[in-house]
Amino acid sequence: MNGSTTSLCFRALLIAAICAISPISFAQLAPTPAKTPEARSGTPAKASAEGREPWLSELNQVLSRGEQPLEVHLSFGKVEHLSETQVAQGAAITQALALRAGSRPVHVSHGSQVESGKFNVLIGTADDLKNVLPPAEAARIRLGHLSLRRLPQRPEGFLLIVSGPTLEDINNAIIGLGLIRERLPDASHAAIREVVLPAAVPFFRREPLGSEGSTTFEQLQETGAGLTQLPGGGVALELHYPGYLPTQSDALVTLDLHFALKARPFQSGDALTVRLNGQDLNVGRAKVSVAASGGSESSIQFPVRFFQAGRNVLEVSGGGKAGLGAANRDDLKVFADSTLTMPRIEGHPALPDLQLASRTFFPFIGQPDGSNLSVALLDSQPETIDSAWTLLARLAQSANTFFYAAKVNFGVGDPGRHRLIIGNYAQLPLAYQRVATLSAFEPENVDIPVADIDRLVTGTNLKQVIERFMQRHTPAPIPAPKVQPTLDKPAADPTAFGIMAEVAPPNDEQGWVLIVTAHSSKTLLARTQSLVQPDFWDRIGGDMVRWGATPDSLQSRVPGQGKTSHGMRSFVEMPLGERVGLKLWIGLVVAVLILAVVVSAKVLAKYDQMYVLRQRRPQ
Amino acid sequence: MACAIWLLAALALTYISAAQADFRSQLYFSGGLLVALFLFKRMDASRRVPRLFFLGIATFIVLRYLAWRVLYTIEFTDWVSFIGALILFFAELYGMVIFLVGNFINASPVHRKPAPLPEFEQLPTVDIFVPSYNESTEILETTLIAALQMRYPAEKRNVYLCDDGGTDQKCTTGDEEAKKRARQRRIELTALCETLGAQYLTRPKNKAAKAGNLNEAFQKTAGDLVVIFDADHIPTEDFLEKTVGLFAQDAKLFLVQTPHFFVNPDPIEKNLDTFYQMPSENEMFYRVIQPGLDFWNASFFCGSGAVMRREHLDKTGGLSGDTITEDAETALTLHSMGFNSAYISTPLLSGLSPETMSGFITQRTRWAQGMVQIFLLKCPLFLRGLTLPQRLCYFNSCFFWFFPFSRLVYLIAPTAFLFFGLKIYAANWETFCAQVVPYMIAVFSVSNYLYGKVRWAFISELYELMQSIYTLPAIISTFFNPRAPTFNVTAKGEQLSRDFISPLATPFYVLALINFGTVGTGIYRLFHAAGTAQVYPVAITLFWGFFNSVMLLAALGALLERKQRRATPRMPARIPADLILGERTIPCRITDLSLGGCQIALTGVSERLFDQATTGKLKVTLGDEATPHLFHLQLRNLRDEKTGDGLLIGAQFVHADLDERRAKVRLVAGSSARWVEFQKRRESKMGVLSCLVTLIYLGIKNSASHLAHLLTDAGNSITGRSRNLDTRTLES
Repeated sequence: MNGSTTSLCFRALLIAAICAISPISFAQLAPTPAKTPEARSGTPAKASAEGREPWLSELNQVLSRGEQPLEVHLSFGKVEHLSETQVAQGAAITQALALRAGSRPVHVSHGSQVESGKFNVLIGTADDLKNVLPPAEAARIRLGHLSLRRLPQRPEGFLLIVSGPTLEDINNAIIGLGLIRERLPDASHAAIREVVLPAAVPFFRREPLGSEGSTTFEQLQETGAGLTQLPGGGVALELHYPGYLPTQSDALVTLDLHFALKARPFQSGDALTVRLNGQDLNVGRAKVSVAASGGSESSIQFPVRFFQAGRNVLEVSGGGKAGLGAANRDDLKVFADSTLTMPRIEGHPALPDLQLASRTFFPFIGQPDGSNLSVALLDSQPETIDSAWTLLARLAQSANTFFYAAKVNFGVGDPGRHRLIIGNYAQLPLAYQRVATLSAFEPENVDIPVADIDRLVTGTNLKQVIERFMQRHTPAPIPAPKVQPTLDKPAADPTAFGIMAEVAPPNDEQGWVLIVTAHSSKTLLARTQSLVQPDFWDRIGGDMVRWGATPDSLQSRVPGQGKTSHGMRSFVEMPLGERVGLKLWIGLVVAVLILAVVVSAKVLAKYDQMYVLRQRRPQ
Repeated sequence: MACAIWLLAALALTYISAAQADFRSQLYFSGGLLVALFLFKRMDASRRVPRLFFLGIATFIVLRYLAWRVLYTIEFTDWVSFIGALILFFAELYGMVIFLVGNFINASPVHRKPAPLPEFEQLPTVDIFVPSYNESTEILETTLIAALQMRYPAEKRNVYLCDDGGTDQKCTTGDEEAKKRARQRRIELTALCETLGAQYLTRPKNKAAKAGNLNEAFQKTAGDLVVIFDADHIPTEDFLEKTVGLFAQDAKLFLVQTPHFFVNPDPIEKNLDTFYQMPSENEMFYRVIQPGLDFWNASFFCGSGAVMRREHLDKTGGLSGDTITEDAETALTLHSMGFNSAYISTPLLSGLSPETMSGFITQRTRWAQGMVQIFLLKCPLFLRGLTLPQRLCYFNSCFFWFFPFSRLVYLIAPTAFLFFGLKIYAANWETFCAQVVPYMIAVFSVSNYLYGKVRWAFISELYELMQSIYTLPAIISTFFNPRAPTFNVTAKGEQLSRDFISPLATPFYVLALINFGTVGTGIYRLFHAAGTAQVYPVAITLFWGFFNSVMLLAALGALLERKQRRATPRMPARIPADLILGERTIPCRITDLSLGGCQIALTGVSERLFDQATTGKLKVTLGDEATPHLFHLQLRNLRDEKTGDGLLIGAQFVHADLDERRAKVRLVAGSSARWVEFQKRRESKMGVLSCLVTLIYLGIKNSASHLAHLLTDAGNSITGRSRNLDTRTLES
């Protein structure tokens, strides 16, 4: 190590490393034996004030700061078309950055130049980057290399360099970046000699809760459960409930809390508030007893169904009706030996479920390193690549891990793995075009499971040909005031939608398929950037989702819960596309039928006369 | 004006029928239409307005289905599937066109009453022609006797036997054997005509087949009216009484056609044993369609059993000969010249169906080729001089014969989907329920409404299936070379001495194997599709494949030719008579009757009475004659029917002389009332499900016999005992 550079050998001893990540919260978990070492941490602001380059250890704060989506811009030097390897590198880097950015949405772009106002990442070997890097920095690259700096003359922008003399070194650097629970050094540069991962690959950011077993809060924290101090006193634990465990279970979770007040013993008039995802677990009435090791203890039980898939927040605070006085709130200490005991949870969640996928990336996640995942980009358009990176970044946040081992290819992916297929609609394989169709959102079709959607539209029929013809040969209508498309009415412009669908593996294939598509690559990028924002993302559900430019346009198909599935449309559509009210049309049918019958009777009467006349024409 | 409004209303109906609602609205709407349809169906079918509403609603449902089919269900996914989808669509389109034009034709059928004959002086002279080619003397004798016994002043009618089997050309042919046969035939038939009072006509050369034969005969005669009977068509005594009067009413009338009533089962009826229970196949045409055509002045000449006005016929130079169905062609030509036709639906003759599948197929192939020739060469839709309804009627009569294409497509379509996975029909379970089911219900309802009395459900399909394999190639060849087909005489009066497998069976084995394979594949796919929506299309197509299998089983059953010893089977009768045994006269009742013999029922008589008796006489009073006729009988068998008619005696007619033969012809075939009664006996409206169950039963039973026969033949060939599969005895 010299100056601001540190040489690291990452071993995924995450338990030891985690303490440095959350010093504030750990300080609250009092009497566990190990005292939290004080972190030598700075902040980007501090760095700025000190007139130095930001440290790598400040990267998380750099990334997670701000409410707006994090704009990440990748650059691979003077490369016009990215190779599959570069796309894979970009995918891994953006995931790593997204995991470090907390839950902040990430928008990814790429180009040969760095862009001001964005978080730029330069990726490549020293040779690749020699025209971009200062000679001194280029000379420093002898191992896997990470460095963080401000953009020259653009203080609002940052530049992360991910490099190495060889591809392997670059990959080491990328994985090093993705080891969220490892503390990066207090230096602006780091050389990564080697990355050694345990045989059983962990979830890189946060391990999920397991079925049947007890875990102390300390262990939870060590395995990535985010612990924060609540503003009003007490602590909040971020827990990850895995996608492969069903939440619809009445089995009881036991929470054994060991706590104390700083200044005085816990009294009968004091109350403890425990909330899971904002839901009061109603433990004000729970029996509180004196703990043998000092302080108080209380045991709370609640059913598993209080959990939701993915992120859960468990809050322990003082309060309630007979709550602690405001002055005393900060006094609540929760001890690290408090225990969460999960019951045995049977069964599997029902699939497909895009809400589950959006919250946990299950079932696509497979292994935590993504070694069961294939990411297929249908084309190499820059927008498609950016869309894939943007989406993967969000999925990594949901999954709390980093899919560095995922196969990333152009094409349709590896049918032996779960697949994320992303690209414009025209490039989708026919079988998936049949699934990812807007007609699936027609009121009469919303209850059809996605696996059966392909029978709705399997090709081009005459009606579609007529519609296209009419569109081409009728003058464009005066633009109507912008109205948000309603859920039961197709939008005026079907090409403006993005579609995401979760499709069961076909017979001859093994993995589930997540399709994300739009009419064009540009639309795809715009829609993907929208989708990863919480207003959109949190609405995802069902087996297929379509969305437009606004959160309200997002519609999830949940077969069986179709809002309009038991209703009827109030109109019929005539062959040339014009719409007539249903009642009016029925009236028209009845009227024309009666008219036809009356006129037919008249015509027949005329022929009756002719028939009679024929019989009155003697020789 | 009314026609223009009608046309506009029809166009408006067509356009609004194409509106597409969501499937739930469509489901409810179709349900409403079907309820209305059934309400009108329950009303009196002879009342015009409810009938029109019924047909109008059904037409609307079919138009709606057609629009949906065109707009939504033919999708381009790949070329093979697309071509398959188009072929299936055109097969369906064929059915829909036939359905729609059929509704038009049957909108207001006419059941004419016969007109009274004019006074004697004004009675037209009638020439009755019996064209013959190779029919036996016995058949011709019966027909000539019956023709001569038609009630009409003898001086006003002449009966001619127009023999093409004894032409100069045949009597001088190089083949000695054939020459000898022709000369012998000419001698025999000349003698027969002299004996009976008819005139024998022949001609130098066999030119232009039946039409040429008759045209030459027309040139040698001069009667006002011309009557034509095929050699096996035995007219009833009232034939002329019920037809000739119509000519006095309408000077422009060129034709009065009567139905062809068959006294023997066609091969399908015979082999499936349905003759006495089920209306004959041709009744639909003669009892429903021809009256429908008659309303539109479009009933047409069917080659026999018709009276024509010579004056009008002469305007076309006799029977037209451009096609091998000269009858329909002649009618078309005369209709286009502004002349009228009429149809009497009472059966006024009895004839013979072909007995074997080969004969049946020969006959139908000729009809199919002939009508396709008319379709192509005369093009009724555009023929100058026809009214619009006449165009539609003739179009329908010709276009119908394209059914083999449609039928075979239906047969292989399930295979295309279940076996080859072709996407030939883009629909799902919901749209199937909302569009296809109402359509099928409407089609079956209309079929039942219009033809229910004379046609069991699915019987048309069976007949069409059995003809399709052989008529399709003939139709295709006609299509490419419309002037090529030649007239083939249908063999009639064959007797089959024992059961045998029709030589036409082989293609049906192939089709059955393909279909059973398809059904097997469908069952396999059904299990694999369980729990997915694929289960619905697979199940629906599997049902379709199952239906095809039922049809093919029935077809295989019908291809086992059953023996038939009697050239004409006994027809039921209820004629009071006296049986004379020696000195004793016993009142009895004739319960069935044919030209060969009869069955007599006696009650209150002991079997011992017949211990010594082998012959007897039957005394029967014919019509309102004062003197009864005596018929000599050879008593053949005796059966005591404990529960029914008492003692039943089977007897054979033994003619003593010509008078007795004449009387027998009158007794057996002289009364049209007997044929009407027989038709009414077979009328029965069977439900669709009952028909299906019956067909399944017949199919399984008869195809099992077919298989057993096949195995026996195979066993015999292995053990060295040979049996000629199509050996049959041609008698009479």
